[in-house]
Amino acid sequence: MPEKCLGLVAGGEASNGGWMRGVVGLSEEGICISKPGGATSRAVAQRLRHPAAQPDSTSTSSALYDKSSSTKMKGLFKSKPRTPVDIVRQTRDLLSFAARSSESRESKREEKMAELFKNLRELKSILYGNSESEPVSEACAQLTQEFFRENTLRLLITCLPKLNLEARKDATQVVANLQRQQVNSRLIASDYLEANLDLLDILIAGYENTDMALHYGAMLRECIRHQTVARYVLESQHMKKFFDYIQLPKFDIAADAAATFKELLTRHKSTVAEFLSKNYDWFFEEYNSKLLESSNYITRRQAIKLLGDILLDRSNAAVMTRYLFAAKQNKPPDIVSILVANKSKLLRLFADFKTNKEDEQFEADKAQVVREIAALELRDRP
Amino acid sequence: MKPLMAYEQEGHHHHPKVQFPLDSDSYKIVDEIGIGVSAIVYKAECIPLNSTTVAIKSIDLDQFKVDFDNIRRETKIMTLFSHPNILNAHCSFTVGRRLWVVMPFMSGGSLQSIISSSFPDGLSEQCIAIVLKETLNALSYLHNQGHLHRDIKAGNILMDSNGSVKLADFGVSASVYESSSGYGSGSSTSSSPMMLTDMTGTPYWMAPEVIHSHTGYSFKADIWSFGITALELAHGRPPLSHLPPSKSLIMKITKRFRFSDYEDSINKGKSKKFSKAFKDMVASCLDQDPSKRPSTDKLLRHPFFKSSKGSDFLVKHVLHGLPSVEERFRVSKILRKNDVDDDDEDDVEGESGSELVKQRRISGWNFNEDGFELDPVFPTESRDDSVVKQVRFGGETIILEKGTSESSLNLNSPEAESSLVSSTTTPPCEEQQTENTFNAETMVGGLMALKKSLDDQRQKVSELINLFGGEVMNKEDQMAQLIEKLRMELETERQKNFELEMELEFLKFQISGASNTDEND
Repeated sequence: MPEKCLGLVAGGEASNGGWMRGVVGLSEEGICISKPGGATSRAVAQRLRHPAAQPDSTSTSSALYDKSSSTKMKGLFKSKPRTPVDIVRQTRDLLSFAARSSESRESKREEKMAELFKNLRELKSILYGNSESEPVSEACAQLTQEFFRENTLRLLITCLPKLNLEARKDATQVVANLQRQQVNSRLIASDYLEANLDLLDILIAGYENTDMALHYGAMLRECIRHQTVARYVLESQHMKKFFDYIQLPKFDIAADAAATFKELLTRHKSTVAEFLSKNYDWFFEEYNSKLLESSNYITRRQAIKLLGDILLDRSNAAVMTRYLFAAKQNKPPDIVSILVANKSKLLRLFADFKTNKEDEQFEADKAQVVREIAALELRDRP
Repeated sequence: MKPLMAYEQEGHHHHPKVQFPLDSDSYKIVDEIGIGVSAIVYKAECIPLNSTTVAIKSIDLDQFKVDFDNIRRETKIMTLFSHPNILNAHCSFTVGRRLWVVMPFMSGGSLQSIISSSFPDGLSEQCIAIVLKETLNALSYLHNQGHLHRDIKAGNILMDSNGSVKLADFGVSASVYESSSGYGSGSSTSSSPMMLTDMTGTPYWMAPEVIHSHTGYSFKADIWSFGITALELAHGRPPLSHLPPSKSLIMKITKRFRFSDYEDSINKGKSKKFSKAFKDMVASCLDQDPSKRPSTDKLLRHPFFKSSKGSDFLVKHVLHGLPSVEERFRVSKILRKNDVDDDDEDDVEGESGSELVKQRRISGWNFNEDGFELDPVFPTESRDDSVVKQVRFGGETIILEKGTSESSLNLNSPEAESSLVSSTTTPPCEEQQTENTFNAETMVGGLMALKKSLDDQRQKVSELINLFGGEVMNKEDQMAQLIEKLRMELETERQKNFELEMELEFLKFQISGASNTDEND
């Protein structure tokens, strides 16, 4: 990818490479919707939209691209410009090769791996753009479609340990980005994962592998943006493992697991509420004993914060009521003291709840909860 | 591209990484070498690994009120980024309420520390070229990974005993791929990718578009800071650092930057000559228009870096005779204490002993003479509002008695926590003897003498501190400030509490109403 930067003058017009020329006129949509970090800039969107809106101006517009494209054609693509689809296909072939070839038996292995790394970097460059150019929605869509047409994601995930560090990072960023790419306003990554949920098992188990944890963890966090995927993880046996993962001794890995854990328990409200009510007993038992009573200061602090976020979410009102009841009946001193310590915050947040007049049940729950909190306060006083 | 590939091939596979232990008992703290608002940096030994020397950045987690996302990102970067010019972390783990990040020990310390202790008038152009080229390699790698460093400055560039140079401190770095606006909000069509909007960094080094951040900024903001760092290395301090780092002022300053004009004054240069290539390189980085600044890859091809020498040159011309990092830090601490005793203390100081960027007074070197002129503000005008600190070795001070009475030993910590602070801390000076240009040899001599009689000096220093009650007074002041702060907080809390009680009353009222209804039912 760095080569792509060569020859580009700072401030020169953005260019993503040769294939872009054929693409400019096509991109009526103009905006590539699901980019992490925001979509295509307005400036570029305008540049892209312009030719479509005003056919007459296409020639001037492509002339503008011609300038940079032609310089790039020489250096980057040499004789055969490849489309995003070509790159995905070649990547898939190389991954298949990597998956079956055992260490260095085959003579061309090293060469092919280098080729694979180069392809991954190119995929990343198409999806994200680079320091000199913006991504193009049509190219992203083509790439995404081809990527999920076959088992590229599975190959990439299973081959990840065979890649070098740079390629792993590129692959991770590619996978992350693809989760947000829409093709014909569908998140096809979600469809793919739904049919391949076992991939999540691999990603989660990554937390047990020091070398893979941060890569798989980053992929995992992107995948659970899809509600069905999040539901699968929540309801899987893996959920229990997170209580240990977030207390792993290596801080970077533990913190990554904690971020995923939080995402799982806060992102998809209805799914979370359903999960918590179904799995109430074991979940809060683990939560209280392993996290809230952890000897690790950060774990405790994060756990309290997250507990507040979970319980105070409107969709979890029933869970909160139950939790507070349990806290009252069982009187585990730590939980009570945590609640008491956070009482003012709880009350304040609670008072901020938007009350839906039609929701009588919620009002009742809320009243109940406030009563519980008030009771905590009374008992707390000597 | 080429160097990138070269080390990529080496990869991580071939030589398995040494596993550093994840418990504090395995490390023996040797010395304090840096201090910041929320972190202390130690020199330490890793006992189970043959007492390998390491640097440990100990971060106070209580300073991070909301969440640990920033710290998580920083440690992740230090784990996953692999480049000969980027400082990696060996490991990180929690120790009570602190996070320990164990890193390689860079014995030369930061370039800021080096120049302020031994090269107050800046490094030679040859040395600058080496340092900047290495830094640029790191920056190129970062940018190609989609990362902005956002705090490029001499204080974050470290040197090892072999002259190798590494970029450090990713506390405020950011990925354009996962900027917070995009993350969590699904699709966002409002802002461009590759653009960030939050203002972060250290004022003097900040690009205009970062300060006026409404339009967003990207990789080219690092290029600006890189240009400022070039000036810092050339002059011994960043441009305009005699002005307080307030945002409003910086806004004015950046507008007044006229780098296009700087050629006019080239011929006026007397004291220090810079090559045309150097000036051209710096000027290109400091273009007001970000899009006109070169990319890292383009900069690397600039003639200025063509014939740059190897790291041996730095060993010979920079590191040779340099006091050790811990020694420099110790001296700087003493100097700070003494300085606090000065009557006309400026209030810029205070809690932000943090950054420890303390420069010589501007008049010590001629900003206007060398063609790198940025602004017509003259140092002598800025006596009162100056944030540049001249540490005096006056009669009160017994350290470095001979010959160096006016020399400033303003030291920075090597891996100092610059990312977590935003302002430099440099009280003003007085009695500046403008004629006295800094003499590096005298300084080194003085420092070597200091080193030799370390024990003796230590005792004197303790006496000195007692004598001036430096520590005590300092603490009292700090306590007073703290008390005031706490009082304010208490007041706010009281207010909140009152409001909450009101709320509670109201809710209780509602509840009793509700339960009455229940009973009636």
